[in-house]
Amino acid sequence: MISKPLFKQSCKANAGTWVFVTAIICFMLAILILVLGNINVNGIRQSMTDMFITDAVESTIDKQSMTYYNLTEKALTNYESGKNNLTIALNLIGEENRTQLSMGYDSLIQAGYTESEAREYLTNGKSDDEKLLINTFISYYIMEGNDISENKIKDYVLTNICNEVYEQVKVTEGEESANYAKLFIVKAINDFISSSSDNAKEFATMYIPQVLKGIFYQQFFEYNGNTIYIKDYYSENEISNMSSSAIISYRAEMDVKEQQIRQELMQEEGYDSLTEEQIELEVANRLNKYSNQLIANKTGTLIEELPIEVATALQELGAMDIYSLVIGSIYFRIAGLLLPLIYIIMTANNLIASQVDTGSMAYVLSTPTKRITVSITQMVYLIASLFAMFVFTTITGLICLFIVGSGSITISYVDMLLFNLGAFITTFAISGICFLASSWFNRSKQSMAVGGGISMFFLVATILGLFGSSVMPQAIKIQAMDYFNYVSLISLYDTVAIMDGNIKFVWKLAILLGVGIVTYFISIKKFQKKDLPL
Amino acid sequence: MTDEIVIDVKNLTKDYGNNRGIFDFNFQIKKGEVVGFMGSNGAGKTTTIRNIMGFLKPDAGKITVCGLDAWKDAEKIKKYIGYIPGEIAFPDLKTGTLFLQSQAEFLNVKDMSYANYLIEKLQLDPTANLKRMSKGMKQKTAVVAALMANPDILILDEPTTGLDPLMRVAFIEILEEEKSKGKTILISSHMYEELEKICDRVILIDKGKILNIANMNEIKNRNVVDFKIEFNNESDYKNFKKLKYNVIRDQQKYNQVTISINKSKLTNLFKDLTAFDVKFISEVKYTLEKHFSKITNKGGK
Repeated sequence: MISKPLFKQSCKANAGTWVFVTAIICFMLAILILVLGNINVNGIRQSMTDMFITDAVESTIDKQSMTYYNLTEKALTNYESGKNNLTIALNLIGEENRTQLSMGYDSLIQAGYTESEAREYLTNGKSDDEKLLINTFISYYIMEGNDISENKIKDYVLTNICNEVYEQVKVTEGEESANYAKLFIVKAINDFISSSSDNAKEFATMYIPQVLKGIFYQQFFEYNGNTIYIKDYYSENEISNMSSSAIISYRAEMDVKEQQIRQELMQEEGYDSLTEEQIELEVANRLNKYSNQLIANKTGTLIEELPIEVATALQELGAMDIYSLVIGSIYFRIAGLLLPLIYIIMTANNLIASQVDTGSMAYVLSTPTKRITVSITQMVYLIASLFAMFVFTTITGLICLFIVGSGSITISYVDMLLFNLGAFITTFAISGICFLASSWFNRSKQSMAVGGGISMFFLVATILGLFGSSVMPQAIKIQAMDYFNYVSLISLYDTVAIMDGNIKFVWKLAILLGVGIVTYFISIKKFQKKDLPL
Repeated sequence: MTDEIVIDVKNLTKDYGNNRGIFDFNFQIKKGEVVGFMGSNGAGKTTTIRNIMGFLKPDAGKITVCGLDAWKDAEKIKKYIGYIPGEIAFPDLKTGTLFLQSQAEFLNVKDMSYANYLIEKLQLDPTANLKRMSKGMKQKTAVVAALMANPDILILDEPTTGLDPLMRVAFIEILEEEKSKGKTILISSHMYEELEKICDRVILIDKGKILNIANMNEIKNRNVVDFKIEFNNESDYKNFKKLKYNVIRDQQKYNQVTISINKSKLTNLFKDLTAFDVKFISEVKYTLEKHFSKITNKGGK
């Protein structure tokens, strides 16, 4: 089925082109892998990623610091005032009244009254101030009994404040965070009590960074599918400093805002009719609203401040895999394919059409050599030479990957093998088309125009399609250019799927294999039947 | 020469449209016979040869070579055929030697002594670069390639084009040698002298049709001879014309006549001529060219 002398002839005639093309594509691949592997092509990308991550870390620290400061400061202030108010109230009622009230309450409960009915009964006919006192006492009595020692009072106030914090946090952050906040506040208040400080704000300013640094140091979060440990980016001291400065600037802004709110309030109508308490309440309300806004503003990450399209584009750019883009989509599907395609166009034409056109095929066919033997020999030569070509690029690729080490390059040895196998099958399919053109036409220029034209069209379509393909970052992607991928046979060589380990690249290569088999089959049939002007 | 038919062309038609091609060719070539194809460019010589070689599929008719169908068993008939194509283009190899070695491999020729003999005879330097060879060198190389397997049949498409006159003689000698070995040869040419020399028969083709198949024996050994006779004076010229010879051309201006005479009557002619004052007498040779021009003129009328 194969003519040895013809095979030798084909080898000798096309060896020059083959060696040239093989050497160049191996050289190109080697340069790409070695250069990409040794210099940090990801420099810009890495610094972008770092920027996004540090930005995210910093804003997390800022946000948590301010939130906890706000929470703690309020809790401490409330604790102080709550403790004082309660002590005053209990003393105002007096020991006798307390005993009477407690006995009255107990007997009412025993008589079957509910708590609210008992409260109603005891406060019946009293003035508003008295009602408030009585209710305060009963609440205290239910929890702590008749004992009004300082510890009991502290306990009572602490519990109340913690419950308030719990309810408050639960609304916005959920139960888990609420429980955590509650524990945090209990510890903060206890630490506050045992400390020498008596100023809630000053204490919180000092206290929060100290506590948070330990917590943050251990924290991690997800960023673009990667787990980011804060301790990789900041030392404990840095965290503490960042936390402090966040709190201080927050405090300063809050102070300024408080002054502002008070002045605004004074300008408003009906200010004079407000009581002191009402004014304080209004100020606290407005400050609270502002506080939420301030925390949100201060802690918005850089990426959140950008328009959504820009943000996605930047994040994509950060997440982009340069190696798979350059090696997989640019080298194996475009740059590294160009020269083999030229080899195919020239060689396929040389093997049949050119020999018929010049007439040199006469010397082969005037010997007892079957036409089918000629076809098959030339086909085997073309396929074998392409296979040998990619054996060399495979070896080059593997050696270069070994030299640069697997650390910095995302392409594995298996990927390299599959890339080359895919490239071989792609060139096999295209060589089938060129071989068919060569077998079909008796004129070199027709064979070259059709075979070469189709092959180059595929390559150019792939180049244009690259700008619309999924590997292009959103920032430079042109969606409409994706249509070019639908008209290029090379699209069936799915290097992205190979990189991702997606098995769909297999059936795509199977289609290419089919194209090659069919075109070679038709070529052989056609050459057997046609008239040869020899 | 035996009666065994080696190449049999029956009703061969290959129509390229617009009256181009060959139409209803019928001829047979016997073993040991040398047959020439004569015709102007585009007459259909090469098309016929390509059909015999199995390169073209006949539109109608059938060609058998050594009993095998030329199209279906194309590769089998090549065992008997040596071929020189009309257009000389060699495979992409470096030197003539490499080319001849490669051909030897194709033809399964192990013994290169005959090839070397041919190379010497044609004074060919096969070590020269194939692409830089002159047309004559290429032609010689092609001749060696076609003959080296010592095939029974030679099919030669204008083999002498590009050869200088000396080499043409050497080539004709080689062909005569092959002929004497009993080879069957089919040779196309548009040069009468070549074909006259070696052919047993010459087929005249014009515009895709066979006009005539001339038997060289009959042309060479005609029993009629033509003589051109010029007389010194007009009276002799007039008196000679009164004798009843078959005058085929009469040129009164020169006192010249051309007569056609049966060989058996030659003595009579010479006897008669002794009575006249003859300036010169020469035989007018009947060539293939004459023969064919006679036929084409008739056809033209």
